[in-house]
Formats: sequence, structure tokens, C-alpha cells
Amino acid sequence: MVLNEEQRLLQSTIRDFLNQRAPVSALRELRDNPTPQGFDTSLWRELVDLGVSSIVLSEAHGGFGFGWMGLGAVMEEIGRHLTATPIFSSVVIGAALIEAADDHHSTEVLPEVVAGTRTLAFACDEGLRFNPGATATLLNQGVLQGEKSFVLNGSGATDFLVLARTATDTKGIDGLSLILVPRDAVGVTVNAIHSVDGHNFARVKFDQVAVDHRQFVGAPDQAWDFVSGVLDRATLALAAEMLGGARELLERTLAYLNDREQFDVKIGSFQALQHRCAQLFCQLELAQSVVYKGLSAIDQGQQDVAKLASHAKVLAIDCYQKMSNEAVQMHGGMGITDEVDIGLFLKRSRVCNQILGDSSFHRERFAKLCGY
Amino acid sequence: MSSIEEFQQQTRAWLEENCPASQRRPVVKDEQIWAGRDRVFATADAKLWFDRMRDKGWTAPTWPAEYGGGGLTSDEEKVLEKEMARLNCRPPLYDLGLWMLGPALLVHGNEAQKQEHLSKIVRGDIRWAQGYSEPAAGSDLASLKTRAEDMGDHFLVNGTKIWTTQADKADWIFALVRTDASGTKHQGISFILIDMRSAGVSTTPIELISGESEFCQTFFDDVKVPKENIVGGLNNGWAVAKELLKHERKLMATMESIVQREDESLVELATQYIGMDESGKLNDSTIRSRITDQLMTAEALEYLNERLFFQYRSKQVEPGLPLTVKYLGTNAMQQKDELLLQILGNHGLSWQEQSHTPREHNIVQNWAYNKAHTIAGGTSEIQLNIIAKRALGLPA
Repeated sequence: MVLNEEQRLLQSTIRDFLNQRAPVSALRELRDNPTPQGFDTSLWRELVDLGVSSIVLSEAHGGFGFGWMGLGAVMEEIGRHLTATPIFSSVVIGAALIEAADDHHSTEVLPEVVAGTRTLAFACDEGLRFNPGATATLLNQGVLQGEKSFVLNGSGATDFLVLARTATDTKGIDGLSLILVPRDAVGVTVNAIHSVDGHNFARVKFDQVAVDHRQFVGAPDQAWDFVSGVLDRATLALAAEMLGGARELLERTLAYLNDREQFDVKIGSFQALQHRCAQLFCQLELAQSVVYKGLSAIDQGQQDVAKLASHAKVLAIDCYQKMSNEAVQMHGGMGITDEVDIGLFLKRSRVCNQILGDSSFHRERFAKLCGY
Repeated sequence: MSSIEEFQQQTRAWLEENCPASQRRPVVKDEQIWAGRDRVFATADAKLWFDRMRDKGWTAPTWPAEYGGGGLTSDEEKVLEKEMARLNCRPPLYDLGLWMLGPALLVHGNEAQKQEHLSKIVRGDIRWAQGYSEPAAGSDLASLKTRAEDMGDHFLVNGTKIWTTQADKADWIFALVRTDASGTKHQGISFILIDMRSAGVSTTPIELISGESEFCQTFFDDVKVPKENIVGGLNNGWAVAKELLKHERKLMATMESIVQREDESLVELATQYIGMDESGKLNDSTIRSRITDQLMTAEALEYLNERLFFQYRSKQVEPGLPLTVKYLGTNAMQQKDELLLQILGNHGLSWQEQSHTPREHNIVQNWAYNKAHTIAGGTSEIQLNIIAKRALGLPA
């Protein structure tokens, strides 16, 4: 639950790189002058050169053995800098799904994903929120039909990993398959959307898309068996990103309280504000401990991290949301201006809330896993 | 096999061999083994368990063997704790000397003091009380007024200490006293050890909202104390007290264990009192949701403690992190107590022991008693002050 020497070095390398190359102003630039891909492709190129695109993979697939604690350290920096990249959608979910499926895609697709020349987007959500058990997109007799509502980084993805129902008489998480569909396949319509946080997602329609058996990733009808584990690990990585954002907000707020003067004193000397900051710090460290517990459990080979993933997501949501609201409030009038970065974190936190399951989803799942 | 694995196997085998079955159940209050000249054992098994652990020095596992301790490394101690938890072994000894005074003596005591007191603590021969707070010195502890006057060949102590835990049963007390009133209030405080049998020492129990009297007020009226009983040097008591507070985690374990009752499983209790629907959900959605809050906090706290352990072990302690434990832990405990009470419904309202089950009575009493936790050992507000200044660097 503590970073080792290599992981600390990795973190400081990424931190230095992002401080230089992509501070929060880079997100503003992307927001104000969006690219068709939804991210800065040359920044992604440079991050790939630093090795982040293979970080969660086994060494056979180009990983460096930094482990999930190492990935968590990278995600934390991404959270601190609000970096818009495909790392989460294409690598932490996409590449990990392909590696977990362990079929011909591992040799045909994975190398290009690691090289950054192909970007994957996971197409799962259909309604207003994450609920894979309610998947209605159907693959029947080689024809895919359905609509996905919240495909993260879908704007610029080259391929979609589509969760679809392949056994028609099933409900819930039974009878689902994972299908690799190229963006340019006939019948695929991508509606790119700029999200409130300056990142992007897409609504993707699959209308009579022809699919052959080689496009199945992993075993048909039983995809949830391996998809759920990948998503649990990704959820922990996302929680690490969220807490990186929360930590950055706390530090920026403390700096402001140590600088701003009213009534002839630093406002940080007021006990009302001190206690709120101290409580936020406690909440942050509590959530951080669950994230580290989950990430190190993966590194120690624990197969099932479902409960830890839901636990971490719920605490990360509560923490980042509270931290961002308090950061706005404690920055006073400046907190509600676009000139100050705080609002960007506020918006990012709400987007993160919805990715791979909101608080209601994960609280419900945690309760079920605990047997009440 | 590494030496730590070997130690683990030996420890496991030894505990299985030597911990009596009756000592492998959660300890109830009346069966705790408290140190003291007049210590009593609730059962023969309790004595056997205590004797065996004491002989190995495992009442104080990491203290040096020359003072009767177990001489274990912190990794070995962790193994011992794990193996004891695995068998649900009860703590072999309860004493504030063990948890608080001993670690401070190891750092600040002179050789004679260590020789005199440490082995008695390990052997459970002396029960210690703590004399810090005074009626007019609570959160502002450094304003304490109990004074020790230098009479040439001894000190003369006058004043009163409050919240002295079970001082009516204690043999000795470690206390903060004023030995010099001329400087700032943090200066001029000394850390002193006083035999409770000394002439002029008296105690009065304080009845609490839980109906118990765990705490006393202790009075010192012209009490003569030998000069060698000052620990850490004259007027250096604040430094010793701070050292002692470093052991805050153990200190809070102390607070808990003084009235430790069986730990309640929220889910089990809620299932019994509220029931579940056919899909396996508790019938009360609000309580179900609050149980989620509570379990998430409690389990996260375990992970935070585990994380701290690894930080200590790899010598990468984030200095702010240990400061969060008391605030978070005591809040979580009270949050759980409120939930337990809510689950009991009107069975949580009776004050007569005979009109509810022992378990229900236990929950109600605990709920009232545990209000002490956010006050004792530095209030939650003081904890937040400390975090704001030391961990976050906010101005005074």
C-alpha cells in the first residue's frame, strides 16, 4: 500500500512531464479549440513514448511491471492535471479487456493499441447511467443493432468494444458478449459530444451492422465473466484519478487560504475554515486508503476486487464532490469565475461520478456483496 | 523459509498449544485481565493464559528482553497480532502502564526508572493511572495547576486531577505537574510518578451518563514524592507528554478496551431486528443505506491503519496521516453506536438491566459511554486544530 522506488520514480517522471507539457491550461486549450479526436494527439504520442499505454499489461504484452499501484500513481497525476487522453478508455479498459479475453486480438489488435496508433472505446451504457445488466443492444444472426449513450472518448476512437446481448432469452449480465466493431464499419454512426469537463464522449448508433465470429472478443454469451473483473480494476484506477483531482484541489485551496487576506489577517487563520479543511483532508486520506488497498490487492494477485472497487468508487465520488464544492466556496467570488481553474475540477468530478457506475450503483452493489 | 515465516509457524503452533479455548472468545468486561497488586483473575484459564504470555514477555512484545519484554521486531509483532487475531486470542493484559507509560519510559526514562518500572508493567504487578486533565485544564492542558514544590529531599504535590481512569483501582499514577510557574505555561511542567498509597492521595469516582464510573477525580493533599520520580528531567514534562501522545493509536485502543464489550455485527443485528425481504435486502431502506455508510467508513479505517503500518515499515510516513486516526476512528465508533441504537427501536430505550437482553443493555450503555471518545485524549476539535496547523500548514 506504499509506492516502491520504481513507482515513485514513475510518478515523478509523469508529474514533471505533465507540469511542463500539459498543465491545466492544456485542457482549456482543448476545450476552446477542440480536435476531431477529442484529445491532443501529439500529447498522447509523447505519453505513449513514456510507456503509459502498456502500463497495466503483462510484460509479454509490453508492460514494465509497474503494477496497478504504478498505474494508480499515473492516474493520480492525470487527475491533478486534468489531462485529456485516451489512457483510461483505450488502455485501462480497452487493452485490458483484450488481454483478459486472451484470444487472437491479443496479437492482432493489442500491439497497435500499445503503440497508440489505434484507440479503443468501451461502448456499454445505454440509458441515463451505467447498468450493464440492462444491455439491450442485440447481436442476432450476425447483425448488431442498438444505441450506446455514453461512450467515453468515443469521438476519436478507431474501434468500439461493444457490450451486446447475444443470447436473446437472457436477462441481466447473462448472455452478454463483447464485440470489436471498427468505427468505419457500415451502419455505425458516431455523434461526438463535448462534455461539460472539456473532454468528450459519443453517442454511437449501430444500425444493421454486420458482424462475423472473429469480432467476438472472448467467449460468446459469457463476456461478463471477464469484463466485470476488468471494469473493477478500471474503477479503482478511475478512483485514483479522482483522488488526484481532489488532492490538487485541497492544495490549491490551502495555498489560497494562506494568501488571501480579509479583516487584516490570512483567511486561513479562521477556525471555521481550518476545521473544514482538516475534515476534507481526513476524508481524502480515508478514501485514498481504500484505493491503495484495492490497487495493491490486484498487484498481490487477488482475483476478485469487486467489493473494493465499489467501496473505492463511492468514497472517491463523495470526496471529490465535497472537495470541489468546498474549493469553490473557499475561493469565494474567484471560485465561480472561469479564470480560476477550480471550476474545471468541479466539472470533471461530476463526469467521473457517472463513469462505470454512480454512487447509487456502487452502494447497491456493495450492500449486495456484503449480504444485506 | 525466511526467518519471519519460521517465526510465524512457531508462533501459530505455540498459540494453538498454549491459549486455552476459553481465552479465544471475545473478552467481556468482567473477564479482562487488569494489572495490579491486587489483580484478580475471573477464571483459572485467564490466569494460565496470562502467566504463559507473561513468561514469554508477550504482554509487551516489542519491549527489550532485559526489561522482561518479548524483544520482537515490529514485523514479528505484526505476525503475533495476526496470529492472535486468527485464534481470537484475548489480550493477556490490560494496563495504561503497558500502553502509555512504558513506551515513554523507554525513550525518556533513566536506567534506574526503566529497571524499577518496566518489568513490573510487563509482569502485570502494578496498575497505572494517568493524571493529565484538571477541572480547569481540559483542552488547554498546559494551563494545569497541580504543583510539585521542591522541598529539598522530596517534592510536595498539591492539586487535583480529573478523568483519571479507574484511579480508585490503580497502584501508581503518572502525572503532569507544575514545577515552575515563572515561564510560559508549556515550560515548568514535569512528568512525575506517584505511588497511590502515599499519604494524602484520595480518589472519588465520577458517575457517567452510561451509569458507569470508569473515571475518578484524584486529589493530592501534601503528598510527598521522592525526587527521583521525575521522568525526562525537571521542567521537561511537556516533551515527555508529547512522546506519550505519539502512541495515540494505542492510547485510543486503550480508551476502547477499558469498556470493551462484544463487537456487534451491524448486518447480523439488523437482519434479526428488521428482517429482510425475499430478495435479501433489509426491510428498512434508510437503515440499509446507513449501514453502507458505516461499513465503508469502518473498513476504510482498517485500510488506513494498514497503510500507516506499511509507511512506518518502509520509513515513508506521511507526517499528516497519523493525525487523522483519532478523529476518524472516534467519529466512526459513535456513528455505529447511533445506528445500533436505531436498529433496536424501543428495545434501546429501557434503562433497567432486567428488562432487556444483556446484548441490548450492552448496546445502550456503549452508546452513552462512547460519547467520551470524541472528548478524551484530545477532543475532535483539538484534533482538527492540530491537523489544520501541522498537516495542512494553515496559520495559527
